[in-house]
Amino acid sequence: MACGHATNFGAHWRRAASAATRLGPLGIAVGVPILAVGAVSLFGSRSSERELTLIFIYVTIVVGLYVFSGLSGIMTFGHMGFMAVGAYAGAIFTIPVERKQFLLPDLPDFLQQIELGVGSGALVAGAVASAVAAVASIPIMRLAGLAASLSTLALLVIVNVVAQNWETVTRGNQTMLGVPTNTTLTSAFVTVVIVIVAAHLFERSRPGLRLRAYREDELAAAAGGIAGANERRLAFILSAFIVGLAGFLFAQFVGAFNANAFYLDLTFLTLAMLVVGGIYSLPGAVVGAMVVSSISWVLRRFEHDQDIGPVVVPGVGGIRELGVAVAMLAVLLVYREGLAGAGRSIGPFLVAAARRARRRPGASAPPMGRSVE
Amino acid sequence: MDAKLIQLTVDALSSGGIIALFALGIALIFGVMDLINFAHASLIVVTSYSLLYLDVLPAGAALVAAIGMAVVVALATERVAFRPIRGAGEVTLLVTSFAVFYLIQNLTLLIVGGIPQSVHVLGFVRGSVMLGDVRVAKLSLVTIAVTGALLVSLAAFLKRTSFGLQMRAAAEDFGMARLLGVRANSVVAWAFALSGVLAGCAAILFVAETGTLTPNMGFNLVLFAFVATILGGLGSLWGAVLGAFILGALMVTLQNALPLDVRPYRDAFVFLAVIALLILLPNGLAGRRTRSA
Repeated sequence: MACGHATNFGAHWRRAASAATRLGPLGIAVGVPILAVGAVSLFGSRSSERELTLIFIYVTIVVGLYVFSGLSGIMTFGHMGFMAVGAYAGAIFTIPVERKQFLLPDLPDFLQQIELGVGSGALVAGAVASAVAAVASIPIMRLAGLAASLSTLALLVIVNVVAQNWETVTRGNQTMLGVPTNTTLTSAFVTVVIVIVAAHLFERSRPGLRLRAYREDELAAAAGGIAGANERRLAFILSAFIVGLAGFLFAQFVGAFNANAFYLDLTFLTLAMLVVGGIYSLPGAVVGAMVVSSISWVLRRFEHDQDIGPVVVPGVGGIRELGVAVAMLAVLLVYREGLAGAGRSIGPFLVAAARRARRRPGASAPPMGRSVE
Repeated sequence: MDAKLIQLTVDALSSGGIIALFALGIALIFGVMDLINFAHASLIVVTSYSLLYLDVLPAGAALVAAIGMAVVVALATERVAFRPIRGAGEVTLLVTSFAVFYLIQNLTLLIVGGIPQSVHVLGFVRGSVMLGDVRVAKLSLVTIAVTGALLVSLAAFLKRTSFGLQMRAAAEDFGMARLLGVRANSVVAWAFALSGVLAGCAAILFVAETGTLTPNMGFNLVLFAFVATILGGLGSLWGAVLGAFILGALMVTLQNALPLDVRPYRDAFVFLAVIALLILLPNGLAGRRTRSA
């Protein structure tokens, strides 16, 4: 950083602007959760900590969705199936053995006796979800975009039907209980950061770039020798791992759940988060998840009667889903690129403002031969 | 054995018929807009719950009015949600239709409430009839007859009328059709209106069979319809119908052939069978869109 006679404030501002623009998307993607944790730690209550933990679980899911849909351009409706797999696998592998004997008496001995800690449980959950994805990807990756998307919806239904009926493993229709509640704000936050960095590295890796080439222009990519199927499969499996991880976190957050938690409602909510943030952007996915979660949280309170000053606003059941649907449609119909698009417009504006600040009288002459990229 | 076969055939044709009516509506819209319209699924809920409110009208009028509601909602979704994004990428269209589906579904539930209700439709079609040695429900026969009639009329409309020709032209090549004077907006609107009629009839037949209204009613059936259009090959109307009947046959066969303890997984097996078929025929049975995997 050249240029030495500016005021202290000018120097700090320049340094910050330069650093921010250099960190770029990864900086934003990680920065927003950091800010959120900071804010909640300083000002928040116990319940807002729990709320933020749940939001971070959603962020993990949406980053997983981004790794597949954002990079390949193929919409997935089935990833909540992988979340379910991760949650149930996590439950089976981490519920204490004594409890398991009552809850899941018919498990094979190997599963009956095993009890893993959080770390290994999480990895197993992700691995099982990836395994299911690997198998499912055999037929699904042979299909073209729209057909593939619809087949992921079929996958969601298949997983749901199996989960609701396979009593020995999932307790069928009954709630899965007794999962140790180990998920904290810290563990959720750490997971989010790891997952975001992993996604960032993946999108810049060779397979990631090839996949994005395929997304942008299938024909050109094919002409350049990129058929895309292997890369799509890799992204599918990786995204399933991430979403399975989120399922594990969720299971250890709520302690009890059933198969319907991972069906259409959550599919729609997480899809809305991805869309509002900007389907093709990683920081968009993160910010979109946090924004939509917040909207959803606020609207949930309005489902019951609220006292606002002297007025009682009557509760409107279902307003949460409607609000999210409206937000999603607003983005789709009006501002196609979501928050990421808005960010891209504002970003250069801020950088230009930073440059102008540098040239204000009182600062010395603009530095030669140095550009802030 | 013979009697069983007749029973299965009737069931397969009647279930397949309902799925075919939905699938055809989906295929029509896909043909003119390249849009997989998830919002189509919400038309079941709209039609069925309308019947609840329309029972002040005489039976025939109520049915027509309920179908009318489906048409109105379909046209509204076209005008408000899909026209602005006409020509946008596949992903935008698909995701928008999902959002519209969710919106309409939840809006309807907000208005009517989510408690299951019972409704009596087509009450005069109760009871059964003897077909050879087999007792067959009259409703199944009516379903088959109505489906057949609708399919035949649609075929006649598409082949014989000028408007049908325009729709087929638009489905074949939208840009060229417009250059040749086909009014884009009318064609798309008609596709949506027709799909509304088909969905409305299918919903009525479905409700007549099950007798109850629940928030998620028929979702699996409409999902079968979506998968049927893929199976038949995106872009082919008759492929969609064929795919639907194949799925109906699969559904009924599995329902009868699967051992009792595995029977709850029937829908999963149907989807697995479809996925297996798609491995063999990635472009569907009659697909014209060739995209390499």
